[in-house]
Amino acid sequence: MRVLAGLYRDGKTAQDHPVEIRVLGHGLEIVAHDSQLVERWPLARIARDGDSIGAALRLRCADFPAARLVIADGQDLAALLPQRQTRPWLWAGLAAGAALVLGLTFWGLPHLASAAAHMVPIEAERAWGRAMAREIEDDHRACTRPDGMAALTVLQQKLALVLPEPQRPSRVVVVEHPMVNAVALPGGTIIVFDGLLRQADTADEVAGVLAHEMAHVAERHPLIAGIRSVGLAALVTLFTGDLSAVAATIGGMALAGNYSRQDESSADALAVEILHQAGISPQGLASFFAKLADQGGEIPQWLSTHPELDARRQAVEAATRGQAFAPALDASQWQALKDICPN
Amino acid sequence: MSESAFVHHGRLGAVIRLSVVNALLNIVTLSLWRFWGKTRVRAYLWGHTTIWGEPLEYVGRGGELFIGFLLAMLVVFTPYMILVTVAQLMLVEQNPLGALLFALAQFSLFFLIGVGLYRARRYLMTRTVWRGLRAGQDGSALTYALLILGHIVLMGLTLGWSAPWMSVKIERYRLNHTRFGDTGFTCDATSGSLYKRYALVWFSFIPVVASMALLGLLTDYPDPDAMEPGEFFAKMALVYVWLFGSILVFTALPLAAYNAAYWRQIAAHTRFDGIGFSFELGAWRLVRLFVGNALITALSLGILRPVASMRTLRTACQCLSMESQPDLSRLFAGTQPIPRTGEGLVAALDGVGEF
Repeated sequence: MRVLAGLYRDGKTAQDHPVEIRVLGHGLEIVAHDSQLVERWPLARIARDGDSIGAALRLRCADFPAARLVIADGQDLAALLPQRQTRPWLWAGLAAGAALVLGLTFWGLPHLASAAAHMVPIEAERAWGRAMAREIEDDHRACTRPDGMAALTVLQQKLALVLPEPQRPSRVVVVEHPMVNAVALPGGTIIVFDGLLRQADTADEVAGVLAHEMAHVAERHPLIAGIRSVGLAALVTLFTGDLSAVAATIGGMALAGNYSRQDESSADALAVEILHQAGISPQGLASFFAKLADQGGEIPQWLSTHPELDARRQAVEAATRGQAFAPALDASQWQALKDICPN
Repeated sequence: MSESAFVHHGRLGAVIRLSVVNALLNIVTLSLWRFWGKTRVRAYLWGHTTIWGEPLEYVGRGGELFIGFLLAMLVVFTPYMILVTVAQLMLVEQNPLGALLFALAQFSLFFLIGVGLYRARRYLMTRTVWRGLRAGQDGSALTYALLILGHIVLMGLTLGWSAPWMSVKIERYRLNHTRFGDTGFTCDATSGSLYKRYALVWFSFIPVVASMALLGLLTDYPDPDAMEPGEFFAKMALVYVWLFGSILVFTALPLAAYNAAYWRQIAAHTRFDGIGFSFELGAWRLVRLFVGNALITALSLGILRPVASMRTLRTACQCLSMESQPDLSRLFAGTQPIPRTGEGLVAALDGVGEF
């Protein structure tokens, strides 16, 4: 029988009690200096504190939760205790599992989001879009000169008639704002900023951008993007355990940019199709991209969700087929559209 | 005695390893692991902190935190979310009662965070063991929450000038109800000497406000409806960088000087069984700690937060000293009941202030 010297702590005082520890086949006997048996710890009930600094063996026993044993040189005793199995495959399995879950989630998210979007009633989507449109129109006046409105309607119908009825935009509005852009809102409202009309040199360019936004509407991208960004923020928060949302914002922005690039190229492809069928040259869209690329923009490319303008222009040009095109609007209609905003 | 009372021995490699394993397990378990992960980090950090040569021991269990979280979700978070949803629906329908309900929800949120923080600290204390004895915390979470609420209200009424007074008062409440075994800590710190430094903090916000106004003159406020998403995010990033930059330039040092003085004041007036403490913390060190922790947490997407915790603990141990070793023969276990589950309120609401 081995006998070791140790310190016993009873959990009632902070003092150490020097004890003798008798190592038996089935457990440890803790004996005080007056040879009085203090406690008997069965081996199977003993756990070792593996987190503490220092070489001393620190033990506790499930039968006496408050008591502790400290044995200065009892390292060989550790071999007698219930062993924690080492599992070398655990690391590899864990990393593979994590990669799988991450991959499935981030690949699957766009599909999940679009499946969820199809379950949203169109009325709810329209109501959401109307609320957003109202906010924009509150801040920026809508342009409604009659001649311009008529030209806009002509252009809108030329393009929209190509699409099946439920995929058509519900409304196209021009608002006074210098930004060279147009946006599609959930529920099918398209907002064209006046800056776009001023910068465009031909009606074909405006038709190209409009077809691109119509493609977003037809594919319900605004709603899907909304659902996706909520899901994305929730997932990043979940995975990083960062509830302060710093990580969620950074990671979410990076991934949202990636997903929205996929949306953009898909909308470009559909826009080219719409333009072909409407008999309008996709060259307008391509030259508009070239124009944006020349301007360079105030935004660094890596932050923008519309990068790679050059690549997009080339894709549009490559998809253009040889067929006869007519101008999107005649000269007077085009002038009226450019002048849709008073002043 | 040449030996320092408090020493932290944690190793960076071990904590990074723990953090990465926890991150992988969080992903695989859709974040359910976090309660056990947090417990493992605490067990490591506690076990590598020694007081007069003896390590601390963390005896909390992941299951306790998990059950506490489930209870808080069921009893507090769900009713709270229902209340907020109802209030929002009423607001949409322009029902004036909605605003009242909303205010009530906000008010109860502050209150609940106060309650949760105090209970979380109680849990942490009762799971901290040294030489076989548990630490503990008495006092009432409701009183504490009222103090926090009073702090917030007074801050508004006095334009911030009540902050040192209330902070010290709240700190006193915490420390006077903290014990090790059955021996209580006592704290009689006052805030009078902190006001000179606090005034510097207060006035340092004036240039911050001025610089934000300057930014407003230079550029439009970011408007998500009237900008491309890319431009909006770029503008938002600019606003945040500008704001944090201004705060860093004008406020960081006064704030750090104030906070360092605050902790020195608290420690100097705290006693345990008649033995005094001191906290040798300087402003510059606090800035380094804080900025380093923020960078580590943000750049690792929160995964390396335990490293930040370790840095905080290490700094605290290096700065804190105790006049003499307590008389061990006078220290006995406390007889107060120990909470059986972890505190889930804070985790459910926001996760603020968790170690």
